[in-house]
Amino acid sequence: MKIQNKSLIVILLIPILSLILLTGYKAYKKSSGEELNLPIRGYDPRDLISGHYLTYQVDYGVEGVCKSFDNRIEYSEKFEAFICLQPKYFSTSHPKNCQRYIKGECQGSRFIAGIEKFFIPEEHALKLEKLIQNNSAEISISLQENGKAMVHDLLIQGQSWQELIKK
Amino acid sequence: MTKLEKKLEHWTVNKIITPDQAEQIKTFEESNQNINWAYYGFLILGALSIGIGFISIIAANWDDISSTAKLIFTFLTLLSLASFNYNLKLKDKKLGLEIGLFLFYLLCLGSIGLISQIFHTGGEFYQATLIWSIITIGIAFYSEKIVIPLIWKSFFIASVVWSIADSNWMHQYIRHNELYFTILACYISSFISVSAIKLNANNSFIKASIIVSIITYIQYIFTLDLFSNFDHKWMTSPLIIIVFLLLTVLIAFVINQSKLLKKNAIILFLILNAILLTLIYIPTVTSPKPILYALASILCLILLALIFASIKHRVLFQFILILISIRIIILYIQAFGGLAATGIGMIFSGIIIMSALFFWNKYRKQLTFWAERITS
Repeated sequence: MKIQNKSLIVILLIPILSLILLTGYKAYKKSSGEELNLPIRGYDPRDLISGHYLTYQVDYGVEGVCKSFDNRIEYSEKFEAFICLQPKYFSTSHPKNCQRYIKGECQGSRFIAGIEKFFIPEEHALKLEKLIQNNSAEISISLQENGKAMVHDLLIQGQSWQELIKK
Repeated sequence: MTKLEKKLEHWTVNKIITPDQAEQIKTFEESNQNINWAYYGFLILGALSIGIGFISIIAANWDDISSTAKLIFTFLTLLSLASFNYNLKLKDKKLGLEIGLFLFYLLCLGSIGLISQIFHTGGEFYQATLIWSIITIGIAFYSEKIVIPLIWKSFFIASVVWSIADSNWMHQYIRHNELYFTILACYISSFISVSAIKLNANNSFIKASIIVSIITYIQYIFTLDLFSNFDHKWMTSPLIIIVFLLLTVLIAFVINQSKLLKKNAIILFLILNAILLTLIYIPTVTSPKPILYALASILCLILLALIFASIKHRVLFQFILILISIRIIILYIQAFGGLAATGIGMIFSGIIIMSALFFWNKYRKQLTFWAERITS
């Protein structure tokens, strides 16, 4: 019985500790990277079971992203890709002589870096959609040295969406 | 009046046992009774409702409280529920503990969703369920009821297969993904079943594992059947044939390890799968005939029905009968096509099914006895 009781403690603590570690890891990644703002376009709000979220395309200011060199859509499958932000270029291999880059993958003609979604509260979804459509919008991201990025905030005309909603 | 009471009354009336003995048996059974399944079922439903409600509240993405506060609240709730469950264990409250574990299990998924929301991590659903499955594996092993292990195994297999399907290298090498992934699901499921048996896992986990293995097998058969209507060329690949043969052996091994069946049942299972293999692959070399795949599926299902009849598992046997009936109806639609002909075919099928049911009901005992004999 004692052994069973002890095993129950372990079984119940493992998920809790794992989730705390996961949260800590995410918080560390968020705070440790370089902060950047990137413009977004192609807004498409949808419903999901986890709440409303905004999907968009990030405007990296780079031509021919996920396309062949003669601008035809060549790739039909997923593969790893990189966008160098300084200087600006797209590459299917690890970028050289690049100060900062974002790592993602090409899915068809779209470059996905895991920063194309932003969670927004249900009650503000419509208001936010109108604000974004009528104004310029950006996402504030945290960029790691290995090219992985995390979204911090959604900015509309340079202001955080939360402050704008309150106004 | 319960089943047991009816039986005891029947035996007492026929003087097989005395009224005193009937009373003793009844008292003994009541004192050793497992948790009433209907009562437990409703409690699980209530817990599920609470769990989903909690996830929905998290999903509402409260803007009024800070992210840190949301996280602290969630972790405190998890800790409280964990200590509550531990308390229930100390007091030997089995039913309460099962419900508590189920709620805790669901809350873990809700917490992963909340972390994803707060940090805008996005990602695919299968990634969340994979993390959820990994961190809650202990709960699935520990639970003494079948519900948690069944849900756990289903999500785990789906997550693993989906993550492999979504990976870049898989896209590069496998073009006709769907059938390969049903095979993969079957393999993973069978591997878990065998491991569970070998590691002396809880009976509920083993039972859940075997059920999922059988379901993935049925799913594989139906996928194969479905694919027969579209493309045949890739099915003549030697790799597919080898994979299928290995899968058949593995499933047979799982059933054998579970000690549910006697040796001949396994041999019968292997023979009928060999027939399935013949029906599927040899004609595709010359002229493909989708109807043969349909017949092969029906044969495999008949085999499964036989297996369940031999172990007197009425519910699963009847479930397989329903699947066979559905497949026969679809076969008519495939074979005839036109509305009128399909209508006649379906009426005819209905008559056959009802006659079969009448036949089964009348000769149930003899059929079960025969199935037991043939597999012993």
